[in-house]
Amino acid sequence: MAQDAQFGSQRFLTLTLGEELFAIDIFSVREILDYTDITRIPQTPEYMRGVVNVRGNAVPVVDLRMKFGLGRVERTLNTRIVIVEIKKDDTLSVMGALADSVKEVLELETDRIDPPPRMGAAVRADFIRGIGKHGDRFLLVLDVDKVFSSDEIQDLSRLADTDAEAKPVPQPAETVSDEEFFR
Amino acid sequence: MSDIDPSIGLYVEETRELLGELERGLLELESNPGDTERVDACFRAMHTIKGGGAMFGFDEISRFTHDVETVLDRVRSGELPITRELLSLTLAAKDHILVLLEAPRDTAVDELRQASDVLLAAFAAYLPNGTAGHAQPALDQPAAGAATDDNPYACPAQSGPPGIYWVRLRPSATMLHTGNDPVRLLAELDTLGMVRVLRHGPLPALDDSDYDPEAVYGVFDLLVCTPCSAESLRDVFIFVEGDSEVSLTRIHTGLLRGSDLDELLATLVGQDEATIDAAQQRLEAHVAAKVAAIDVAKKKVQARTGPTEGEPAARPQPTAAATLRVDAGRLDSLVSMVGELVILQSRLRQAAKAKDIDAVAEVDEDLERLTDTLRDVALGLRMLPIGSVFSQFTRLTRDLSASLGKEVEFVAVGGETELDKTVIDRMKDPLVHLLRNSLDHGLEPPQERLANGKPACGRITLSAMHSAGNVVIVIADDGRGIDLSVVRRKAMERGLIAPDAEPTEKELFDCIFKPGFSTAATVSDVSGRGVGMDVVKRNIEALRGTVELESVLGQGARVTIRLPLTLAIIDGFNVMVGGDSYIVPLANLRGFQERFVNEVVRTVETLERMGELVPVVSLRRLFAVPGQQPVYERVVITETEGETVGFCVDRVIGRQQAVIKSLDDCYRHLKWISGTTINGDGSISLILDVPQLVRFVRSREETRLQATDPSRTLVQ
Repeated sequence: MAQDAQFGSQRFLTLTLGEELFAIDIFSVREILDYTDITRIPQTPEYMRGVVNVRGNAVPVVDLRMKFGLGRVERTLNTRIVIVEIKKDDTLSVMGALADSVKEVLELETDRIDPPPRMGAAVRADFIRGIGKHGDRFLLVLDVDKVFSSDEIQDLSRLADTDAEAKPVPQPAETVSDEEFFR
Repeated sequence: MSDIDPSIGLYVEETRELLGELERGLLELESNPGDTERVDACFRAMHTIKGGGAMFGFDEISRFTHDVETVLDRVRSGELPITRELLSLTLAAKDHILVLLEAPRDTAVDELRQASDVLLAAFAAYLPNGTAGHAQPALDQPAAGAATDDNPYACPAQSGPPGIYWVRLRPSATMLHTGNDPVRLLAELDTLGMVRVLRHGPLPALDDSDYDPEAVYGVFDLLVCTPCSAESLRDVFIFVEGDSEVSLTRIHTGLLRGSDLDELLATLVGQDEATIDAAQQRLEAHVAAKVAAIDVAKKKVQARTGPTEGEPAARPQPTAAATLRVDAGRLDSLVSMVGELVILQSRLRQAAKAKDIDAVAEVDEDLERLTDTLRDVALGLRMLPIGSVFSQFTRLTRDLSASLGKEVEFVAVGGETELDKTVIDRMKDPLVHLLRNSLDHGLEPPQERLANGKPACGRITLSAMHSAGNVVIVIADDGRGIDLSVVRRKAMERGLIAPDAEPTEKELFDCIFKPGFSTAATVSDVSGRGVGMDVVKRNIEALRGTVELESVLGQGARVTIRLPLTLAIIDGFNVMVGGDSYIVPLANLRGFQERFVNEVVRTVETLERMGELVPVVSLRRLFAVPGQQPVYERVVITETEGETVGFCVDRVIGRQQAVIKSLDDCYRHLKWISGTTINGDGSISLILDVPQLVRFVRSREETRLQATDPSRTLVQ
């Protein structure tokens, strides 16, 4: 994989979050699931949507749209959960990424992937490995390991604590929109 | 250790167990020296270790164990009395064998050998004649005691240290014709000392045309380690000196090990045509190097063992065994149940084919029963008696009490109580810590005990038993107990309690489990640094257990640990709040009540239960569950650490066996979730950790109340 990155081409899975087209390295993808009920875990940031049952294991699901500040993934026919494998301190861990839709697997020439722009991209620059072009559309190639091992996901305690201090009594009203999902 | 022969792995595993048995046996002998069966068992263990060691190439173990075995054999036959010193020595030997066993092979061999020799020298005093028998210690001076007063070799005793002689024998080709035989010469030499032989030089193939079966070919290089004189060695060759070439040189004064002699001989390979002088120079250079290496290693060992060689300084941490011994009966029942499962499956297929719903229902019933037993048996495979850990503690208290100068009688009860292997492994450290605390802080020195009208010998009891789906482990001592006024002062100093507060006994005991808390005036090397009790508590809670402390000043202290039987499955009640499903462990459950709500709900309210007001927590509010607040709610009453707390839920689904799946690491800050479980329909429930949840609610309430009304607290 590391060699592929230097020459030749690489295969990517493309998915959409809102209007944006994203690509993730196919080697990080374990499987793609239809939307199933996500079990909410209380006292976690909203972009941590909860856990799903993947063959007997509870796998955390991240709403990538919310994580990137692009709104919230709503349940439609096209909504998918992409199960990815990420390296976390030498161990492999499995996470789910909620996407509005999953498009296709495509091949990109490695030299056609440009470095990410300093600013102006929809997503924080350090989550992006580069920008590729497919047809007449640009796609943001995500660095999956970085996205999922970022502190906001791996160290929820800090966020939850500040959250708790800010509003010691939870405000049910804020999350009412959740209701649609759990009915 | 992964790339070695599996049979060696088995030997290592077996030896570890044998050493454990040996230790248990030795410790029991200490309290009951007349138990001849124990002695036999210890001897057998040693014997097996030795035999296996030789077979699997652990030569050093085999060499070392030989003399220890001899000593035990003498004990067995009644020639030697069992003394505390002998037991201490044998225990040290046991530790050393473990070190030898775990040592990566080929590394630091010399150092280990020297350590063996130091111990063997101590054992030599118990050997017949005081010599070190077959295992030649590499110490230059004769082994401790009068080593030479009874010579095992067939030659007149020689004063002074033994010597190493190099003999080169170049037999004449016609030696056999004169009635001599090199083999006989060697046999005779063998009666005089330890002999190593190297035969080299040309040897024609057996089917060569010029091979003469009656001729002797080649050169013999012999190294003899003997207390006898050079003359008695020369006498052996008296009849062949005429026509064969014999040279005899003393190359070293002092003892060397057989394996060292082998190494030295190896340096002579290919030197068969070299002159005597050249070969001798070569040999002497190697002897000098060897002796220097031995000296270095010996110094290292002495520096490490120190002058008083009672307690091994750094006992290696036993590596957690990756294999597990299982009772054959359990395996048999497992196999027979799998057979039953196969039959059930074919019954199910037939019933499905025939679309016979009644038959399917029948199979389902049978399957349920089978799954239940299968689960119990499968979990039982992981169960081990906790006694295996207890015996290590016997050793620990024995060594520790000696170093602290206290007398202690250690009583372990209920060693047969079975617990999950993981739990046992992870309980070891907390228990060690608690025992150390009892020994160091709890028990008084003998004089102080006598002054207080107590027997000089303190008593520490470690007991384990089953109680209501839990295993209860109690460590009790009859020492000075915990002075609550000191605890209180320290707690105030550290700001753990408010200066004007009137803490209850329980709250004070809780302080002891806070990080950094220590009442010890001085820090000893055993304990007192104030790290520990919080770690103990955390470790136990990680196993979903609880720990409690009780103490009566002047009479002793008592730590009670409650642990779940297994980590894999818990019994609980499934409850729903909105769309969320939670499991409340049965261990914490005390009952159910109901309540009607018609106004705004606060997170924590109170409810009457059996004439008392108990706090109830609205899970809906606490977890910000989306949805409408129902008017009618069920209240799950739980009890943890003596506190009763209710939790309001929408519905109680029913009792459920939850197979625990751990939650991803990114949720680790949510301490009140002990895991998740997958329900029959594939949905996921969160398993609540009730003690943590209560703690979490309390801390939340405190932050909230500090802002508003300080007079009200969650409990009371």
